[in-house]
Amino acid sequence: MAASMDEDITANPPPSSEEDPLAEERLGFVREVGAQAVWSLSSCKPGFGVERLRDNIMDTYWQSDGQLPHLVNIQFHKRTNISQIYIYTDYKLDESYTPSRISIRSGTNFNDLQELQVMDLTEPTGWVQIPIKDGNVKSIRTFMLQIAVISNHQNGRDTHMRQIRIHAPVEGKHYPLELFGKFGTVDFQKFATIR
Amino acid sequence: MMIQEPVQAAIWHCLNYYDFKDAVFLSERLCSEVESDETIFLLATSYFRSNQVHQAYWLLKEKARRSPQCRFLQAKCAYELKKYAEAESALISTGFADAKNCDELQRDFGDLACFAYQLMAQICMRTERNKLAVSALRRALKLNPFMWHAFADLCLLGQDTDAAAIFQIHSTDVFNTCQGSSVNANAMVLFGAEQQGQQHQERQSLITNLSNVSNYILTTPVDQQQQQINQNQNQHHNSNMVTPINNNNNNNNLNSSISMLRGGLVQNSSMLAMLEDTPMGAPQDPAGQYQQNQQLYDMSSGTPFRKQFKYLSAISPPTPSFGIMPLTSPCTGNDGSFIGNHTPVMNISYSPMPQMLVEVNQEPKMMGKKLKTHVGGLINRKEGSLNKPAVFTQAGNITPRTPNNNNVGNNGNMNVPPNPNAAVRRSSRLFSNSYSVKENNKSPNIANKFVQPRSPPRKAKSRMTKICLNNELIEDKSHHLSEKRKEKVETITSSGANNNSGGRSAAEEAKVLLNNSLNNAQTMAHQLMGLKKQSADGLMALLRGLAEAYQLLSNFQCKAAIKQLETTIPKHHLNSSWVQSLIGLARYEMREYEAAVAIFETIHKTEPCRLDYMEIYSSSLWHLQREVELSALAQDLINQDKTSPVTWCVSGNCFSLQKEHETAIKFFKRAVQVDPDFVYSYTLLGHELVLTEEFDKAMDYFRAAVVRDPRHYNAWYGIGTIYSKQEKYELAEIHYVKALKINPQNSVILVHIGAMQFYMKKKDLSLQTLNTAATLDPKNPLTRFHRGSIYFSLGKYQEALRELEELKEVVPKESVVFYLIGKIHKTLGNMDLALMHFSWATDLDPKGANNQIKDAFDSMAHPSCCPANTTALDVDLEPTSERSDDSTQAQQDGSYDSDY
Repeated sequence: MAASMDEDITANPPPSSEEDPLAEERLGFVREVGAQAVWSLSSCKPGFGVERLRDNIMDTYWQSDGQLPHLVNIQFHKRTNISQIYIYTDYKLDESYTPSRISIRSGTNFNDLQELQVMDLTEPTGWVQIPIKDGNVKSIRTFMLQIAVISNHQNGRDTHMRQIRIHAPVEGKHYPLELFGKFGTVDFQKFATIR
Repeated sequence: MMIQEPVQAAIWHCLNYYDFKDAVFLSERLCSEVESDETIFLLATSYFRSNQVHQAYWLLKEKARRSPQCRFLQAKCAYELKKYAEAESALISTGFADAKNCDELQRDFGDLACFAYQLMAQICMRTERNKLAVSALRRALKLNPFMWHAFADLCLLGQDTDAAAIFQIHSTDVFNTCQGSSVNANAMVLFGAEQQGQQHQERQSLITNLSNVSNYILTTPVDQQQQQINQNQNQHHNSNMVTPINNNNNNNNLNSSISMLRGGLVQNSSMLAMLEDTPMGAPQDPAGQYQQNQQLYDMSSGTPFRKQFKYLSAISPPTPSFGIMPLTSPCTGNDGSFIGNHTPVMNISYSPMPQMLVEVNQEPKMMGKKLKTHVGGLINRKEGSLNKPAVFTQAGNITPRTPNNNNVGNNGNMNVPPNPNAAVRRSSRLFSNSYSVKENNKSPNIANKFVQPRSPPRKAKSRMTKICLNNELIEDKSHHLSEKRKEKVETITSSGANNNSGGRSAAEEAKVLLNNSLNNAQTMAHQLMGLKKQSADGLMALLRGLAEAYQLLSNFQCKAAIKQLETTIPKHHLNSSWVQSLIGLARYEMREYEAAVAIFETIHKTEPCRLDYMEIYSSSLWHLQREVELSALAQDLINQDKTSPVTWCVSGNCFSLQKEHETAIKFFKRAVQVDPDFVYSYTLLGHELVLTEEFDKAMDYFRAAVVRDPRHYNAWYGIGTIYSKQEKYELAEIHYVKALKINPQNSVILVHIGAMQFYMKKKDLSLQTLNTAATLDPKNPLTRFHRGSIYFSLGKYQEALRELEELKEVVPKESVVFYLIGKIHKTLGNMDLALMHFSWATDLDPKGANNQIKDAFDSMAHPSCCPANTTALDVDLEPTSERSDDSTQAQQDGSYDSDY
């Protein structure tokens, strides 16, 4: 685990222009589950709170108003499978407010959060994908996620984040008739369900 | 009451021509002047047609009138406001319906009883007393076999009824309840000393005026009723049906084409109805009128009592009941012989009618308005049909007569012309020119039908007229009377009537006249009844065919329903949009989505504004994953009608297909808001919430759907799906079986039941179920796939391979099939075949949706037979989550590491 974390620290983020969470959602392999959670923040400037993070408008942002680290707490009503986190941030606009190091933590509640990974961002512009891993498993089942902004570019104090999307894998294996995977052809799919 | 009559006529005139604001205003003034059952009913009707249902309901409840019309309308308003208990207490005096006091309805409501029964049935359906609802619907159909929607409701309740027995006219008594009061033609009044010329002519004039008024009132409500049907259309479920007006449009196109091809001015139609009518020697004009009356009943449950009331609006004083009115046969017969022999008399008499309500100097304006009305009717007809402009353009010479041909054809097909009043007169002129002298003598008798009901108030009317007319009116009237006298002389001469110069005595002459009038009355009565029965039987035959098919479809015997429609329904009805919609729905229920899409596409092209069953069209496109067509359809409907639940169901399906489930859910919720009684929107919303794994909300919506329609098998299936995803397989099987009982022909439900039985360790039972599904629907590939999967889990590898190899031939591009074959070969130790099939599976699914294929493929790179076999068996014997599967792989990797 320690070695794995070290590798993640040194990894470069993937190119932003190739990542689009909406396109992935449209493919049908993942779906957005942020709406099923209760969101809270460690601090925010008045008028720049949770709703700015979740309005699907890239021009608005959350702005923190406290001491580092700045926290985004995402609590689900039930154990939810999480595979990816997408964060939209723009260094050209936010400069010293842009996060530079982010830690992802998960657990049941605030008292037992475990750090999954730490990611360094280098002048990000656009969507940043953070795949969630727990060993070899490519997704986790958890009640709570916490996104911690540990530091900002140019040693800024407060942080900006424009959007956060939480992806869960579409659980085809739970559907009894698709035990061996999702059907790919129309001939199979049109007989798989009634509408 | 005499004084109210012209005001009431004016109000009905406003209602008939959709001027609801003025109708409400005038009714309020009349109610303030004189408050009675009549005036209150008239005001409530004006409110109701203006969509002010709350106000109509308040008025009727506040005034608490006990006349049948007021009670019925009060119950109707309460029903529309969802106050079912109050609707019931308005119909039943004790306030609660049971089998005993249902008999009360027939006594209380008389001619309205069939509609009262229908309304009672709807109330009982809402309050979940289906037995009582079924009983009430059967009574309604017995009283009035023209009520199609009562039969449709019986089918929705799952009742097996004998359509041939229901849609049958056993005796002419049903006409009383179908068409309102009729005159007893056998009633006799002494032939009195009223033969004085002047008085005689005045009576004739008044009778003719009343007849014209009646014609006006009787014919114009057609379009108004259609409009009201459109307003009420949302009340119906998926079984919503089209009005005959739409059939009329299609038949107009058909008849126009036929006219063009034959090039004849008078259409010689090979249609059955026309042939049946022609040998009688009767013109189409009166037959069309009767068919038109029947169409009125088909289109709206409110028509008969409104029509009856319109009679009352022209007659006063009203009798306590709406029973049979007395007939002064000798005078009427005598008058009829003159009126009937000379049709133009009625046309000329048409113009004096406005004198009853307006000054002489306004008469030219009124005539101008009527001319504009007729021109408007022509324009509307042209606009209403895409083919008609072409017809007029190509056959310019016959342009003025084409509408007559269309109208004639429409009458023959039992369809209502767009402007019946104009059509009647044109047809009358047309046939008077076409028929021989002998036949011409018979046709006038039928026109007398409309004269008789007005004869009793003759004297009272005459007095009122004298009081109201001023000097100018009198002079003008004298002029008209002079003209009529001349025409009558011509008529007598041309028809070779009795000659006074024969020298017969006055007594003999009177005797001859009396005998003639008696004979005319009897012959007329027989002919009328024969014509009535003939046209009604034609409609009944069509309804029997449609009813058989509709019942089969509601029991989900879709193949039989399609066969019934295609063999028994005449071509021009089979090609109508309503019948094609039924066929499309049947194709959809058989999961023949390509055929269903083709049918609905044709309907949408010919009638772009038609919304019925467009939600089924969108679901068919959803299954076939045709995003572009579905998006275009959604755009079309949003541009047309944002207040219809069909529009938002289509839009929701569009976004669902694009995997934008949140937006789809938003639109389905909007569909539920727009019409809380549209069951399919609840079901679609439930399915969408299942996709987003919000099972609790989905369960709520599926349950809301089955509450509204217990036979909605789709919702029961949805509930079963939720339980299966929650791995509650017993509950899932119970609900799937419930869905299967409603629709035994659905192989998809059978496959799901088989899967549930498999997970409950009932593998043999599961195989039986899948075999049943395969027999039922050989085209369903999932039955073979799951049968192969079960054989694999049972260790019968050769049978599994045989099933899957056959399936590979049917659907050659399904990667999961190759994957499963690869697993079988891997278990059997055929590594090369396993690798080959895994490779094919990977190629067919390059996006990697199936992670299992990659894992299996990778594990093949490290051959280790014994752990692989164990892994495969474990995976297939037990339902596994993704995590468990990966853990197994991890263990395998671990063992490999230790070996290394």
